[in-house]
Amino acid sequence: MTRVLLLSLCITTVALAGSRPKPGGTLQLVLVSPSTTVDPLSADAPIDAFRLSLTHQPICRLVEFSRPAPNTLRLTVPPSVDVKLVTEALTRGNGVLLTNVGAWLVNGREVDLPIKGARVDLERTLCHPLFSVPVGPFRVKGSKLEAFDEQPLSRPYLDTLALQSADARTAERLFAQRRAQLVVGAPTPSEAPQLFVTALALGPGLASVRAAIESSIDRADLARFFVPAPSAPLNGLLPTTAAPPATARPAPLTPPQELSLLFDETAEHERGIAQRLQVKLQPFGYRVALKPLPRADLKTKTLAANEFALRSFALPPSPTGALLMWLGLAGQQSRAPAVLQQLAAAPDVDARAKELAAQLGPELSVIPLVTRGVGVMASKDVQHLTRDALGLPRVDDLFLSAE
Amino acid sequence: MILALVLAATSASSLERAALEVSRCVADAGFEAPMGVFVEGNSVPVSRAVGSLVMARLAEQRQAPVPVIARDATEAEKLARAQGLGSLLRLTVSLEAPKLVVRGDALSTHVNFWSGLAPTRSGPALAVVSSVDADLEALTMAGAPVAPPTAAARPFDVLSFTLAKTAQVPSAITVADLDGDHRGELIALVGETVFTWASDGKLRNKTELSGALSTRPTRDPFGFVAVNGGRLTAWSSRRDKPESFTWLREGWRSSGAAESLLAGAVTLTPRPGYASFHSELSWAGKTVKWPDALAHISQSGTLLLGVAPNGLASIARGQAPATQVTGVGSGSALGDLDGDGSPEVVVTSARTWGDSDEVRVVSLGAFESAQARGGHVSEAPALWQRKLDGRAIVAASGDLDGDAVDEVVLGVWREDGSGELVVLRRAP
Repeated sequence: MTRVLLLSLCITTVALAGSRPKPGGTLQLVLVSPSTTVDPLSADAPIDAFRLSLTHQPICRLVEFSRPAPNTLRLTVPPSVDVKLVTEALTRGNGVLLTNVGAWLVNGREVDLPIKGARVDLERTLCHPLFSVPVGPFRVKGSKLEAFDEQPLSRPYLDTLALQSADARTAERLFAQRRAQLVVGAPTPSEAPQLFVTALALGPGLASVRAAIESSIDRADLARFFVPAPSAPLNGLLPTTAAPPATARPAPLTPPQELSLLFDETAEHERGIAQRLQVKLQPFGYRVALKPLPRADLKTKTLAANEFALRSFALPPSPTGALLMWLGLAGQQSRAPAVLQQLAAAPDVDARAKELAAQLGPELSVIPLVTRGVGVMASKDVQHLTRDALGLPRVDDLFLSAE
Repeated sequence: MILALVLAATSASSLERAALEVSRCVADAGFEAPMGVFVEGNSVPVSRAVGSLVMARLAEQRQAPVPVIARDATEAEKLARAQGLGSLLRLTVSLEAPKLVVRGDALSTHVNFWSGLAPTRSGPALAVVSSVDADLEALTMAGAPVAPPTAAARPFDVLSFTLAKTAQVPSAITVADLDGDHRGELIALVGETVFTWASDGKLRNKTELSGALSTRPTRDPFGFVAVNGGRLTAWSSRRDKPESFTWLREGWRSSGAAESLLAGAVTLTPRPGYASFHSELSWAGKTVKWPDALAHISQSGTLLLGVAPNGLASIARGQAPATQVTGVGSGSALGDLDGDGSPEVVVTSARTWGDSDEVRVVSLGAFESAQARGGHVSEAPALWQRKLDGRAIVAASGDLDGDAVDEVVLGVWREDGSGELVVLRRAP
């Protein structure tokens, strides 16, 4: 009879999974040119933020929020997460994003954030990659990533990720040869939110260059020709802003002004945009010298009077957090409490944030240029591929069909 | 060869299917040719036909079959040794409507030179069992009367209606008569809350689970509810331990942590982090090892339906199943929908994604026949089927309306993340 069973099993067609998601399996995952570091502080590019999300998770997903008092946000940390990791993440992001938040108090597994003055939408702001802690769905084991059983959101459906990095062409070939089931960072269009932005930060006294840039640069062209898909023009401080009316061309400067444009030496799209700006500003009397810098140096650099810099970073998935981020980039953190006060008084915070973004846009010494997202190619057996609030694919939520 | 066997298994008559199963059974056991074949049974034509078909198959397998004509099986062994046959296949064929059953054994009849005249046995031996649905050909050959159309033969029509909608997906459901009025109540675990509805859809109680949270919850909703001797055992994968409740004055009163997940005669053990139970279960005090982990079980009398997360399912009677059927969803259940004393199998599809499912009612015999072949559940003809909005992930059966006939309740996962409890009952 055993032989009957064995034979029967041999000749059965491959079974579909049960109607619940099917656990287990190894996903062949290819990342298109990520950076080599996995650090919340440098997850500014979508592909780097995605790589980070495999082994880290933002605080907002791990903790339970409550309001024991009107001026306190309580974070209850699950037993499987070290409270110290959460406070470290808060310290890391303790800049403009935690405006009006006082020193936190730790009481066992509870972390109380005292709120001083107006503060809205703090919970969603804590979804920014800066607030990531190393308790992700997967853990590095040798050359692979293995499912992390003890994580509070429950283990992912997949057992293992076989991860490799490749350039776009190699990734496409691997996918065509069925050696890759999921390619992340592929230059494919996407309808997901694009919250990874690239903008110009202007040095002090460079307000006059804004008119030249606004009148000569077509953001849609920048997105189309210099930024890998999926990308889109960023017309204002928030991704949904409509294109502004055409700006009058200023008269050329005489004598010409010497400027330095700083950009991240590892970001190809920044190099392309910088070269485009260099060419476009020439007729206006600006002689722009391009200065590539290491990303870490660029982040800490204080711009001189004749310098402007390209900066790429992730906006938090909330309009309020995004406004705070822009204020920080423009060096105007001092205005953040007043902005938060106005938002707190509004019946619809998100709508009011959009109005404020339109008002603040021309006043800040920043010029938004483009947004970036993550393109994905998935084979037919990859099921339930969802995206998080930042538009990044959630590998912990997907499973493989047996088809 | 495999394709040929599949085609033969799916398109042949019941006599041929039984012969095929028997020949498969002895195919690779290493019996020495020539092989004697002795067949007996309560219907001579059927036994003779099965014997001929078995020998034809054995001939294909180069076993050189030789018919052994003897009064009984003991005499057949002696005759086989006397004729110098290498092995002997002894079969008893019986028509146990609606089944054609072949039982027997196969043994080596090789005589060891050193044992002299003593009939010592050496070499391989095998128990042979085959059970297939008897078709018209077998019944006619046996001279069995064809059952006249009766009331039970009327078209199998099932009505379905939504008993309740839930904000989240139900992770476990059961039906139990809590107040002794012979009408079952529907108990569902939704999130961390146990809901209890009367058969008319009126919500009778909502009770929150308490107890320590699990450090290894599951990603999708998963849990367990069962009523044994008036006590409810409820467990959510978000909790560390199951909790026990007693129904008192229209509400569940917690009596603390429960020791185990006991459902009728079966005790299950959860797999931390996975939406399934361990393959090893306790059934009436006996440890049984199911072929796979279990995403869902359903019981009816001495029958147990177990569905694995990979869509493999089996119906077993008191012991681990040897064969499985494929393509079965976890929202499947046993339930006597027509009140004939034998449960039907309500089967949902194994689809893992999308906004629709297919629910089918198949007879127990048809399901077990597909299971014996290791086939796909769609090989079992449906008595009734329809499309379902959403995907059924849990199911339970019981008498909701007090008519002594079961209803089956499906816990459905809607695409928007909400849940629905759909009742199936046979049309009057």
